[in-house]
Amino acid sequence: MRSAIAKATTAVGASGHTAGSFLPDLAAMLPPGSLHALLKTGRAQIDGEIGALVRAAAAGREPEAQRCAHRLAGSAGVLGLGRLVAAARAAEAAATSGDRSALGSAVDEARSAADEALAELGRWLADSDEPT
Amino acid sequence: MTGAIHGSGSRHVNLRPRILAVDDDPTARLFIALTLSPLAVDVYVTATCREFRAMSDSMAADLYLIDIELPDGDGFLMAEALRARCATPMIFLSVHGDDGHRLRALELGAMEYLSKPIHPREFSLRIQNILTSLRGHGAGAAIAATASQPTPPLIRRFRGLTLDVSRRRLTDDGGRDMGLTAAEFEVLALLTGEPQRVVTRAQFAQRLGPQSAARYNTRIVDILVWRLRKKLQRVSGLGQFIATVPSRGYMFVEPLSPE
Repeated sequence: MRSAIAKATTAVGASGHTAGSFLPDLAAMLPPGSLHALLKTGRAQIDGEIGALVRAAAAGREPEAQRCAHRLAGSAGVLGLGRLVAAARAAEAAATSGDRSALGSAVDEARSAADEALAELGRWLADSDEPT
Repeated sequence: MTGAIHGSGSRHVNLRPRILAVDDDPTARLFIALTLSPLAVDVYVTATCREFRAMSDSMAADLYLIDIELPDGDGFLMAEALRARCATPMIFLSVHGDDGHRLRALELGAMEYLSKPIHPREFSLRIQNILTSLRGHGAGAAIAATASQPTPPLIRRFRGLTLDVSRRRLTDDGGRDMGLTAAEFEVLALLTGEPQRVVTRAQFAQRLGPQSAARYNTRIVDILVWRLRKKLQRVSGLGQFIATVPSRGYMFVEPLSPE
């Protein structure tokens, strides 16, 4: 099953959606329980941060949006979720510069990339073992 | 959140290098702990500058792994303050991949600047290579071993001399200050803190600060010990409190008097 997901991930990566994901590499390196814990933490973190980013940007709270985007990029970064990292960094830069128009576009892209990443993490979690 | 994650391998705790990390992102903290645990190291992960400082004050580490943007401060500023008092190797791990951040890290003496995304295997290998390099210089296990020892007394007496570590003075039995320089004092404090044990040049470098660390393969420690021996010889008539251990370092061979 895990190899099937790895193939699917590769296929998605080839289409440019999740290029650079380290999930297959992490699966090869870590015991199943550790992988599960990491992915679960990553999913919760990404889910929480993207929601907070969307709310902060919509409310015009750029400093908060900047911090959310930074944390989002960090979580996505260690999992190698390349598209989400790029989108979060763009949102962070836009929030830092105070460019609300650019921030809006970047947050839209981050939302889309986060949805994709969360779906991918969900597939991996469904296939990985709970820590004992 | 602070936690210690022990890697696999034997339980000779004092031979395992210690890594102290700080990152505000829970996913990154777990990533660090899980990907480094197979390296037979003890990994301590913290989430804030405050936690990191508390940990670094209370234990010796062989390697610091530092995030830059932290909720209660700037990782660079924290690293700068650390550099002023210890030479522990540092690595920065950050989302920022620009030249400005990289250069700032290197100016602070960082061994590496790793930007996310970073491949987990690359991350693990880079840390492993650095630890291997540190072991080659006698650091790592020796520093961890030092940290695992009981705290030495602050007043140390030998042959009529008294070293007061808290007041940073060496006096003779008449109470006269022997006028050690700051560096000489540090060398003597380190040696008397571990009498009858070899102190390596890497440990001296750790104690003496970054300038020494950058040059610890030169003879700076040898010169300090030579000057110290001369001063001890002049006052006590005995200059051989400090023995040279070829290829390793020095040892304080005179037993300390009981309090």
